[in-house]
Amino acid sequence: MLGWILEAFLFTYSNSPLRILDPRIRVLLTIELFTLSALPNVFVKAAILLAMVLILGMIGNVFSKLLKAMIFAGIFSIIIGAIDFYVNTDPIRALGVSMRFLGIVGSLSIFFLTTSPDELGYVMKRFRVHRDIIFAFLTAMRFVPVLLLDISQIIDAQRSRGLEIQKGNIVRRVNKLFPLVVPMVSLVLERSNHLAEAMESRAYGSVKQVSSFKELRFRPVDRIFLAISTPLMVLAFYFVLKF
Amino acid sequence: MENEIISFIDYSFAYQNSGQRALENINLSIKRGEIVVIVGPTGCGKSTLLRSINGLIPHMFQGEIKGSVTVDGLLVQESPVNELSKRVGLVFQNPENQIFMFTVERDIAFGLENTGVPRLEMKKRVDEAIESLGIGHLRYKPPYELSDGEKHRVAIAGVLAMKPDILVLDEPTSLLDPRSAMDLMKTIEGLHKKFGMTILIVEHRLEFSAVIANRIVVMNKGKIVSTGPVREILAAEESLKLGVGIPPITRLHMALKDGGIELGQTPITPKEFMQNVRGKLHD
Amino acid sequence: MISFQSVGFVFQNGTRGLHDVTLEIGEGITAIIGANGAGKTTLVRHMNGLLVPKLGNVFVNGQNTRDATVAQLSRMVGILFQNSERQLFSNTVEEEISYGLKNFGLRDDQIGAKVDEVLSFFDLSDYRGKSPLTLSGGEKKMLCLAVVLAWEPDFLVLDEPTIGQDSINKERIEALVRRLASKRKGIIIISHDVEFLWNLQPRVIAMSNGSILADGKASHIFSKRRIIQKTRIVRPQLLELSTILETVSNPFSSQDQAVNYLKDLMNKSPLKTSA
Repeated sequence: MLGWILEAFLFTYSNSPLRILDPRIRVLLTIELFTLSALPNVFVKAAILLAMVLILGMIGNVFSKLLKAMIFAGIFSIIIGAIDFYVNTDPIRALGVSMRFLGIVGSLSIFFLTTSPDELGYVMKRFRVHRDIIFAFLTAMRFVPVLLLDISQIIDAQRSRGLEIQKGNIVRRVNKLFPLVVPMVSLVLERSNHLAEAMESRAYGSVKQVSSFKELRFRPVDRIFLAISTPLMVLAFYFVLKF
Repeated sequence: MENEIISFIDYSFAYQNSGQRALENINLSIKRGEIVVIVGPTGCGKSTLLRSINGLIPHMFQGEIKGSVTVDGLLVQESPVNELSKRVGLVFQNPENQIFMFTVERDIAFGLENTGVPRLEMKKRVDEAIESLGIGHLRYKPPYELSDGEKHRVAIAGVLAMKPDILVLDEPTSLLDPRSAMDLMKTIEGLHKKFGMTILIVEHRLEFSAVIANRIVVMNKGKIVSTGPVREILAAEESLKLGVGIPPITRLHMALKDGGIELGQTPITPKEFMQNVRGKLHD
Repeated sequence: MISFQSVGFVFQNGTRGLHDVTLEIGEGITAIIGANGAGKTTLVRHMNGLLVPKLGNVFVNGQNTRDATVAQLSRMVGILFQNSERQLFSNTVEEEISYGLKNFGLRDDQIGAKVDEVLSFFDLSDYRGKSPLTLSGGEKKMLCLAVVLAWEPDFLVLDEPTIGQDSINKERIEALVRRLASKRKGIIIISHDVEFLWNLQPRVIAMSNGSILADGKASHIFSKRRIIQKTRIVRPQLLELSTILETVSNPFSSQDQAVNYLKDLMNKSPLKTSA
């Protein structure tokens, strides 16, 4: 399950047409789609927006992974729809609510699939976020999957020594976490130490005047895209809010 | 000495809050362009030795220092890390923990960004490092899509971009399959030839590194036990007792020698061994 | 007996884990070789129920792994994963060894006796009350082995046991494996370390892309160029020497054998000048 979720949001390099655009535009596009998807609870509008998200996924060359995210989100969206139906007893409205959720998840998934955290770092840099904070953010993103793998390995190892978490009363269950928590903590500490050593060895923070491998700059294609997409988005917002 | 690039003089080090010395009276001189392999059981002080070369000791790990370490004319204790990082590139054992960025090229640029190298120069150096390690096809990949062998290459490229004179590798092959280990050793040998780099390799097993090395340093309990040409150290009885990973073919040679059959120069590979045998048969 | 019957496994993200694997592993030493991602750990994770096949069945001593818990199966198949040193968590070496025994429901007096036995067998008696974290790398590995062997599983699975170990410790592990084999246990070793494997002369199962590529004697498997390439190994040095000396039909499986052959060769040679 975890692997699946990761897969739906983990960036992989592909020659997607969306990647031609400046990451800032992708951020903007995501925010717009996200808000648009969140706004309506009318079935037809939600369906159209969901279709837009799917088409964007197709253009972005991440359709199959997007579908995975959708199938995963589908479980939740059914629950959300069911709750709505229970409260409002309106099947069409409930369907709209479900689709809205799918649209939100889909737009986020497209963003993460087409934008590497590196690029997100560049966007943050553009907005004058401090370098240490950007680096901390990137490192966190970078090591989440690594730590998840570590944890699953520790769980497997202790289960192979007879650990059965599901058995026993609460007190017993808490006690059973020790064999998992102790190695996890020491592993996180070990990784942090190694990271710190490697950072230091590559001169992180050694000089004030750092340089950057890449600087974000708007290119003609970005301007043209903005010029076309902005009025369309304004129109979309107008329709969603008005009708 | 004119062509001496690393020199430990009466050097001892004890980590803060630890009662005993991690290194004890080390005297070691490494010449420019040498490939030296450092071996010894776990906890013998190898990591401490490496940290003392690139300045992690004393800049990151504090403790009690006696004697001195000089790298390329710089006294390590008194030189800033960014100066040292241009001279010594340290590649750690686990490449996972030293790749920070989400694309290979950006990660290789990491050290250059940190030392403020201008963008044009940076691009050039990243390209060179990528070419030297033959990882052009990985350029835009994120670390979680790389194999262990590929991660090692990326980690090496990351320090190579800093153009160090000395490349230090901590157990580079321990996590690799034999084929990847051999390929990596060939690459390292290539770097040595191309840039005339001085290379230090810490290893447990010697099947792969002994072939390219000039010299072996054996450590135990924080001290240097012996140092000498590869074949001499491999043939020494002491090495076996200390758990140095002596290649089976070298062991066979020694066993024959004990049985009264002298085959000449100590071999590291079966081919060398056969040369000896043929030479003897056609004497 | 561990038996795989047409086992197929696919990971959640769609990558193939195992494909139509049928094999039986009994007592003695069995090595599993293969490149990264060939399915070696996926295979052994099926042996104690950490993974359950999507297709086919796995039986351990006649027990279908679908119908048993991981704990029940682990009692029969003890697995020591790579980086096993990381699983240590107790305050003392003694507690570390007792942990599994308690989980498996042994009585206190039985536990005490078992702990004594493995501590002395592994030369760790002096460390009984010490924290596992104070042990050296090699000692930690020995402790991990002691932990598993304490509950006397019928099968022991070792995942890359020689990584990071010096040659003295490697020899100790080798001796232990031989000893267990002589006690009619089944030892399954995942390893890239061909020299270590060659010394043990095991049955070798070569895997590639989730399937069994070949299964046979070490001398046979390690001689095949195609298998060597696919599993990303290199030939063991003594086997390579046998190949050059054209004794490959009966390759040197030990140093002694090579010494005898070469002594003979040197003495027989008409060209040889006496030493």
